[in-house]
Amino acid sequence: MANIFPRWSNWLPIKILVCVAVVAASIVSGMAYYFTPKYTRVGYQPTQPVEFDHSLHVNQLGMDCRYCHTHVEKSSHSNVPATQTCMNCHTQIKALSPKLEPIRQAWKNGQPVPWVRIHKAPDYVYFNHAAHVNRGVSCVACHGHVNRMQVVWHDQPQSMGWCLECHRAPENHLRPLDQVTNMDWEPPAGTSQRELGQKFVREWNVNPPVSCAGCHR
Amino acid sequence: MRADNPASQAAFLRASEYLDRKPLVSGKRSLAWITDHVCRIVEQPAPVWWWVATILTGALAALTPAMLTYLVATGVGVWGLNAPVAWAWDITNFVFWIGIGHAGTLISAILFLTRQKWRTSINRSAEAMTIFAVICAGIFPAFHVGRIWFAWWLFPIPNANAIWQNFRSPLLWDVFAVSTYFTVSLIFWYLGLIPDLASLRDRAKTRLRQMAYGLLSLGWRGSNRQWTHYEKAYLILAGISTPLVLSVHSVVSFDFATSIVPGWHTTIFPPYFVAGAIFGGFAMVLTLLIPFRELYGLHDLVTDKHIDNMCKITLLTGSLVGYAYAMEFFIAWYSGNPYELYAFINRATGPYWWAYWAMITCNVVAPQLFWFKTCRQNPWVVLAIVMFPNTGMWFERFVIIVTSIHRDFLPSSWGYFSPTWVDITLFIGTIGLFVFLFLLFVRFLPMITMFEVKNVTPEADPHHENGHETHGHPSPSPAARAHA
Amino acid sequence: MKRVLSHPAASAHGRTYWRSLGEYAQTPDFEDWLHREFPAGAAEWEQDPLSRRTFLRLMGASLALAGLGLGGCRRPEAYLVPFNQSPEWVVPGKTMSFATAQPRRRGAIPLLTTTFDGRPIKMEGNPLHPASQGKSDNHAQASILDLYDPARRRHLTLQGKKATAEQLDAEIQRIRTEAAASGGATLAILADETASPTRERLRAELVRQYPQATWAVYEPLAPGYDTEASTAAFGPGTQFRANLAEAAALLAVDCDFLGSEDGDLTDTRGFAAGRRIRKPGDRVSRLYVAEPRFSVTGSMADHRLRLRAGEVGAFVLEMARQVRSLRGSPELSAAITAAPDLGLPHEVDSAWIRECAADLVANAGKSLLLVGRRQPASVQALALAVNSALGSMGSTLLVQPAFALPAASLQALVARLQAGAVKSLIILGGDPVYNAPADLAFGNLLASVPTSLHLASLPNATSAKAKWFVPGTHYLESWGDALATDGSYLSIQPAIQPLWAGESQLEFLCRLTNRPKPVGPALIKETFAARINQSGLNLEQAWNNFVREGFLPAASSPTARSVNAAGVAALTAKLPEASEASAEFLEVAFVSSPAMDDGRYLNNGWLQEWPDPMSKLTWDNAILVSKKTAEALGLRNEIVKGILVADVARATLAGQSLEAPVMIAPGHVDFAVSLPLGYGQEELGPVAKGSGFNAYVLRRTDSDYLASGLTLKKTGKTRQLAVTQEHQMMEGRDLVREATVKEFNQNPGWVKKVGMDAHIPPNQNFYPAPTLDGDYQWAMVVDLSTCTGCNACVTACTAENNIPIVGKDQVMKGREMHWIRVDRYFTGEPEQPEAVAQPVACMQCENAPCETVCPVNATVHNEEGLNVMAYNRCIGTRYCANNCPYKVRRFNFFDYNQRSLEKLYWGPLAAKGTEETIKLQKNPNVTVRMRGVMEKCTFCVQRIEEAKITAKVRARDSANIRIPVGSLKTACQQACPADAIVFGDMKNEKEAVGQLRNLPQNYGLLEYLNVRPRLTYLGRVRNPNPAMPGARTSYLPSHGHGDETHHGQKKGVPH
Repeated sequence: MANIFPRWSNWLPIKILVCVAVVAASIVSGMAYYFTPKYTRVGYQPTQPVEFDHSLHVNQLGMDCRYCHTHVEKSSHSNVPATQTCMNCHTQIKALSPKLEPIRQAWKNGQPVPWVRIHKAPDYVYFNHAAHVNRGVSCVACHGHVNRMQVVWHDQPQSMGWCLECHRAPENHLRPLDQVTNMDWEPPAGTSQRELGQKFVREWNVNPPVSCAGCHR
Repeated sequence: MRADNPASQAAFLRASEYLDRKPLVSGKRSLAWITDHVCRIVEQPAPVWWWVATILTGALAALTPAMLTYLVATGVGVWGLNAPVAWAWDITNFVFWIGIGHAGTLISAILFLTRQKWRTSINRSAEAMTIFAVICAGIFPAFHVGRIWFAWWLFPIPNANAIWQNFRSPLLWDVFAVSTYFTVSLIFWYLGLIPDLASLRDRAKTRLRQMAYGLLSLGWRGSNRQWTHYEKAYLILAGISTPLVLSVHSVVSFDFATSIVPGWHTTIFPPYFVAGAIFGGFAMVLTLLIPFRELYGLHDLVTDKHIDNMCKITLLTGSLVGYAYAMEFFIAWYSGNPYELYAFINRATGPYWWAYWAMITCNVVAPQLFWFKTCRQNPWVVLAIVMFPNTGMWFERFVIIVTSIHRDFLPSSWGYFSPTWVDITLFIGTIGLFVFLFLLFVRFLPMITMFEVKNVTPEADPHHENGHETHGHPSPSPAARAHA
Repeated sequence: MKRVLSHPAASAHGRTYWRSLGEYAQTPDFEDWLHREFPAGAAEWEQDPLSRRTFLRLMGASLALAGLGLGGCRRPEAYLVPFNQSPEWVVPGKTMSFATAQPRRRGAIPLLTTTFDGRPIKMEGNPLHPASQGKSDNHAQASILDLYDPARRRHLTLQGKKATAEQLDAEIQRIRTEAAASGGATLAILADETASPTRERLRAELVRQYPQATWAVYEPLAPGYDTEASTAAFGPGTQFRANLAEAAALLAVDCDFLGSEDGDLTDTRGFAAGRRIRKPGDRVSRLYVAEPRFSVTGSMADHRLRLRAGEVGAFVLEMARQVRSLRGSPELSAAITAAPDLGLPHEVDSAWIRECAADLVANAGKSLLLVGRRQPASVQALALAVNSALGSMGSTLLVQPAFALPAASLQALVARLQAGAVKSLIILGGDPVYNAPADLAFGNLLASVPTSLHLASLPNATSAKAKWFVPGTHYLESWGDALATDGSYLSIQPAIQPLWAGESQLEFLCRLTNRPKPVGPALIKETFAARINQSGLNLEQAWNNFVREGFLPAASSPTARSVNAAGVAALTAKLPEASEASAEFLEVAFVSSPAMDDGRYLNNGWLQEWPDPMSKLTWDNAILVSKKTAEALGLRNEIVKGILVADVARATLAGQSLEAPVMIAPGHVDFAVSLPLGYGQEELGPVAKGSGFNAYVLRRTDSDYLASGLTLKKTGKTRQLAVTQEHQMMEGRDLVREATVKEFNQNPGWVKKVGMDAHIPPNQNFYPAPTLDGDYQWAMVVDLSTCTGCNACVTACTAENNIPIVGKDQVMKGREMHWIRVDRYFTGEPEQPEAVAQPVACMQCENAPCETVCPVNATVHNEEGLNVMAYNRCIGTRYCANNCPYKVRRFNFFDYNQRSLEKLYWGPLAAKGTEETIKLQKNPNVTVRMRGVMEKCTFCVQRIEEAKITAKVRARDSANIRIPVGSLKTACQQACPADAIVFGDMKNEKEAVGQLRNLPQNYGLLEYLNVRPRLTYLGRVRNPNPAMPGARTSYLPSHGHGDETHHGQKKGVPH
């Protein structure tokens, strides 16, 4: 009987197998990269209605985070400042800067500025700012060096695994309470973050929840 | 072997009528006849009844995706489930179909390893049935979950949530057991198909068929080396499949046995479920083979002896199941636990008494007819009787699942389940899908393992004189043999 | 790979409501702020594509979400919209509580309202107020949903069409002019009953301006017979109330003081205090109940007698005679002498009355006879005389000043209407067209009045008939005041600005009296100033205190008053004859529905789905009859495929008739029917539609509570009823464990020797038990001796945990979502059953059967002993529900939160989304579950976590992170008026829960399963009087293995 398939087709199964393997590997590695918060979130840097420069306000002017984010120590939310907060200074300083036009407009017509949201925990996750900043977790741990950002971006993945990393080993991130808003704090010479953190864990009775109910209710 | 004088020869022949095993291929058929007859089913134009049946079951099968779409779009509430009865037809159908899927691998693996030669003419279609039943079965646990779009969380895939599955859950064991079973059964079936697919390729008249069967037969040439490899691979797969036959339904039974619900919490479940599955599976094999044997005139391949054997297995497993039913009651009473006892009394006398007695009638009473040879010998009687286990095994799962949980611990939470039209239509849809796939199978693939059947013909026996087909007869024309 | 996304030009902004901030509202700053934050039309809500929780997470005033797709694979772009100017006190994300009160027919319930970002989300009792002590009831809990009811009309209507405020102003002006011309004779006002001193003040002012005007008050369920009796016994301007904390022996005659009777939470608390038993020897009060239908009070009785409501007079008279024979008093003698000779009530064992009287007398000074307030004044007056003889005055029965001035009756108003004298009729609240006696044909009369106006927060049948409809405010939207039952003065403080243009009764009365529209609480402050006039307090200081704490204590404490013998005798002379009744000539009592009251809550989904404490019926009312009566009339109840199918009967009374389903109620008196009022109002809104039948159509002026001669005829039709519990017997299982006081005293650990627990060998774990090394070990104990089964916990849980309602159809399928339910079983003789209630929530089993079977780890144990649910991890296999022995897990079979209940089966063909206002009520700290997800009680884990976080925030760099003892309560515990639910850390010796768990009478349900429940029960202790006829002397199973007979089915009590 004559050959149905040409001779080269003997290699076809192997070729197909190799192709499938390559495609599968790309899909897996693609998913591993593109579907994780490290890609979907980290680096998200939307254009804001007003080019608010955190590095200018924090590093050059030496303002504390809590001047604007007033409720971060009291509430689960860290609030975005009211227009009034901006106007406290900007009625005198740069009062006519064109960059601040949206702020002045808001102040005048009562329509607040819609800032583009960068960090958002899903609806079923209950994150509490006050519980963290009052217990020695610095802003920098979750938001990165905002003091160096001219335009704020999403710095950390903020995935569940990322949260758990710290909840399981809080000593890696604790610092003295008066240094919580100091983004550039380093452990003093002669001690390490780990040593210091372990001391705080012990002295402050730090025992972050690692079961579901800690964050999901 | 043959006596010299005609008288003793005649006596020998008389005696051998009783003493010899009946040949597994009757009608003194030649090897060529086997090939011809089996391949013809695929090669000739499909008969009218095939078209009618396929279109009809195809239409029914289409109900399955339709119902599933409605289910997923709307919510599991379209089924009749409720607060005490959180599983009902979904899991009943799942266990029912998985049970059906048992006979195939049992026939192909365990009977292979135990050298039961009579398996050869039925194993192909039984395996196909297994594959299709597992497909139907898989639909239910997948779609019974409330959020199927997250069903992939059942698989241990590394994720950013740093969360894993609960390996204590029998449902997770199910996932692995069923998917393994399906994969192995599929490979096993396909491997067995390869030599026959090559036969079809070689006989193919059209280019399309040549290509199709050529692709499927993976370049099988029937060389000695290929046969050696093939036999080894088949033996290994049979070895792998054998524990799976026992494990799948044992694992499925753990869904119930490891729970604390009275009526579920029973250590007898694994063997009882396996016996029940073989029982139901053989009943379904008989249900499919008897009509197809008739329609395609395969009486010489699927002989009365095959049917007789299967009837005996059905009788055995049916009685095992009956024993299990009785033992459950005994243990419930013997335990002294009023909750357990109530669960069983409620099965027999509660609101679902009809389901319980339907189960007993179908599974325990009806198969007892197979004690009578006359019942086993008439295929139509057999077909009528095996319809009972087919129904009864569905009722068994319904009884176990629904009657146990509809009245469990707190009377305040007792309830009742009644199916909705979606429950019923979806089940009909899967029956349609099952038959539809089987019809496609008989049309496009050799439904009988030709090369294995040839192996069990007397001719295949190396001691067979001249390799002749039959005792005491001159050999047929060499041409016919060559053609085979 | 990183992308920078540009900010879209769209001017996105959401809107919200804001709370009016007390006196701050008067400042120009506030007005200005309000103006800017709420541009015109802000109150009109459109269907913004906001997800609810996103909305709740807003940082400031508002937030919007741009459509999907802008961000591609990334999340949709969302905005943070801050306040322009931060309001004082407001910390976004923190809740605030305000003291207020829910006005009721009689008095008001002092409450706290919790607001989150300006939205009231939960009601709690006012812990400072002695009458509430932090407790509440189902109506108080559910009232918050009424605030957000989408059926509330958002604008004025004139003859059904939208009208303007100017038109209304002109109309009021015209009414005033017209009334002034006649001295008020053409003006009539019909108001609902209220205990608001400010309304009384404005009413007085109105009557001063228009002396001829008619001021009528109508309440369908408060006919004022008790006031009549009180006036006769103690003089005008008095009212009496019970003080049950002092009672040692109580007889309640047709008086459901633990349930639907008008009253407040002090009754339940007082009663519970007398029933709480902790150790052998503790004193326990005894409750006798004689009543027609099984009520919540009857279920708590030690001795219950079935007595037709029409025989209560004869019964009380016989009781009075028996009391007199043991402990005479002149006023009792006078009352009995004046009474007609009625003889004994039918089929009542005189020994019952004799022994009960002997017990009351034996406890003289600490005993009380209570008669339902809708019984005739003669019966109530006689009861007052009996109480006087029992020495109850001043101890168990208190007399205090009446709340309101006397007003004209509805009948008097109707007479004027019929005479055509009234040109303008103003109806404040209420729904007389629906609930006035049928013979008055009030609807027709209303139509005949030239100008009629109805002010109500929810439009109803009266609104449809009145010319004008003025949208009223909810009590959480406007300032008000009220007197509590103990006479203390309550402030009703708004927690939110009116959602839609609405005005309160007080504001409307200001229009009528030509006062300027009151600014903020000005009106209330005037009343308040007058009340503290003599006390010499600093007004501002006292006012601030009043608003903050919510009340001003009663000026005078109730004093012991003597009964005026002549006044009582004059009334008892009118004691009604005991009525006759038979299967053909039935007695009928129009009873208030525990869920709907007089019908005012019918559009409240939470209360619709709230199971009736006794019948477990939801979404409907039914004619209640005894089994014997039903059999005599050939009426049947059947469970068909798990659904209760009731025969529909035609009830005819004096020519009027209605068709309604009949429900066989165990313990109901024979040859009498109870017709629950409040249902059958099609106009009220989508929730009310199709729910129940209107029993008011049979009710006449002379039969406002009772009537004789009703006939019930089987129609051949049937109706499916949605009951949450179809099976009513315990099947001999050891679920609720009971003992008499004597048995308890002999063996306080009897609960451990009952049923399976008596002979189960020690269990072993298959899997290692979870590590329970948390700082707290949460546990709950329910005291079955004090739990009345009132179901307040169910509503509290619904409100706290965002539990959806599922509708009648789904309840019939057994898909109700309540996380806590109260199982009610009937025990004892089918003819004279007893009832027990058992609240069942998730038991937080230490060896939880649900946890091992979940394939995806969605339900796991935490270190504090909670069985926690991560809703978002759940894929919905429902295996956990199957394996839960308590069946407390609830599954979202549909998107109950997102789809309309009528179109659940339509799937994607039905519109998705909820009413915006309903979203506003949701508790932001609890995930709103989607379809396909299992949910259940987690001991209010959101409150636990909140408390832990608060403690940590307070601790800062110190190690003291413990939650202060007593500061954390679950929603059910907080609501429970009987204090039957105790929750806390069982590891902490200072907490009650640990102590209770160590009591010998503590047991776990189905403990033999070795699930180690964290919710346990204290066995129920009953206090029967052995001298009573038919008294059960033992509640223990006779053979020590639990009562394993299946008596329930054999004796034929419906199951």
